[in-house]
Amino acid sequence: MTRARRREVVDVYVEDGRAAVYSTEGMVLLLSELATAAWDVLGDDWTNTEHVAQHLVQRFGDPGEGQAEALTDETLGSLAEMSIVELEQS
Amino acid sequence: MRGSSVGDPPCVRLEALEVPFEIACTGSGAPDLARSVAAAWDWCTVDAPYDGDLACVQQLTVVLEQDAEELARMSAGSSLFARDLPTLMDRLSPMVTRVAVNERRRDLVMFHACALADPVSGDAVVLYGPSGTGKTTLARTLCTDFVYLSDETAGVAPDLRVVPYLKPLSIILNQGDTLKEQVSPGRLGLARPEGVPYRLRALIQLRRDPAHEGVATLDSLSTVDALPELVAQTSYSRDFERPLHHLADLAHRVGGVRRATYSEAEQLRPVIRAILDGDA
Repeated sequence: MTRARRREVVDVYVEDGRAAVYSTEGMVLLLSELATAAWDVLGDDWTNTEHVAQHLVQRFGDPGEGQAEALTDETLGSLAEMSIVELEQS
Repeated sequence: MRGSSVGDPPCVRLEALEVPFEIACTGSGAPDLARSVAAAWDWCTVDAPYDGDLACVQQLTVVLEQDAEELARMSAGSSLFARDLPTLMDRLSPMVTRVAVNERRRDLVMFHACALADPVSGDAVVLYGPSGTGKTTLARTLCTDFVYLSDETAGVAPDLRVVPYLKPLSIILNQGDTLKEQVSPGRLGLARPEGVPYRLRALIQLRRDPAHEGVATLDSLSTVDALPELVAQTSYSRDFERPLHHLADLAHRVGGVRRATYSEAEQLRPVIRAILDGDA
């Protein structure tokens, strides 16, 4: 099982469902609506990625055929690459 | 330019972003250096000594010395040194800007931008963008009609006042030159601020597209889309409390950020005129 949590950031600005995130590395990252929704679910404590996937399905609909989990993993992986999310296998 | 008493090096007093400077010119080339600094920075020079807290005065010691041994001796403790005048003048401008921006980091939002204004209304436009987007060329081209406020750093106060920074323009005058010449805005025939307050009216992100033809195009950007570049072109943005919200608020107060796409500076003139006339 994978779980995720937010890393510390400088600031987050959300407008029309999309976020700009000012990372502690000094970059301002523009997130898609999907990534913003995933980010929104996370907090300082660990959250199971299944829970994130459920939230995204509720918000955007089910892409079917197990794609929700794959898309969620991909989205969280991108956020982790941007150093604004931390992932952990538990 | 002054020497406070016999034997003192010539000193040029100037203000950059309202920060007082005293530039002491030393070395065997001091007289030439002082004359050149005073000429290039003539729109920033002040005659009277600073009458506020003297600790606020930024002291720079600049050495122009052809003799290598003497230069090595004098360079210790100096702010800047070189064996030739063009090199020294080229390096002085970014140093003054850096010090001034650092001093105002707590009370101004400072954009890497060209700033100009309507001479009558005082309404100002800040055109921001990275190096290479043509800010100096814009100032040089458009500020014969519009008032020149800066070709590099636009400082905006919380009440939207734009603080003029009337630095020399850094221009490559001859093809093949490796150093830019520092040219007084007056020598280029630019329009000088007349003491009226200048108030930010529009924030424009510059996008230079060599293929663009005709009048520059102006597109409204959502604030969230504008923020990455806005932050990238703002000095010390991280020092603000909630910097994204701080800049978003500033953008909202002037009707949002717009992006101007252009290839030649002249293409922006009618667009800026329309903005300042309230027609765009």
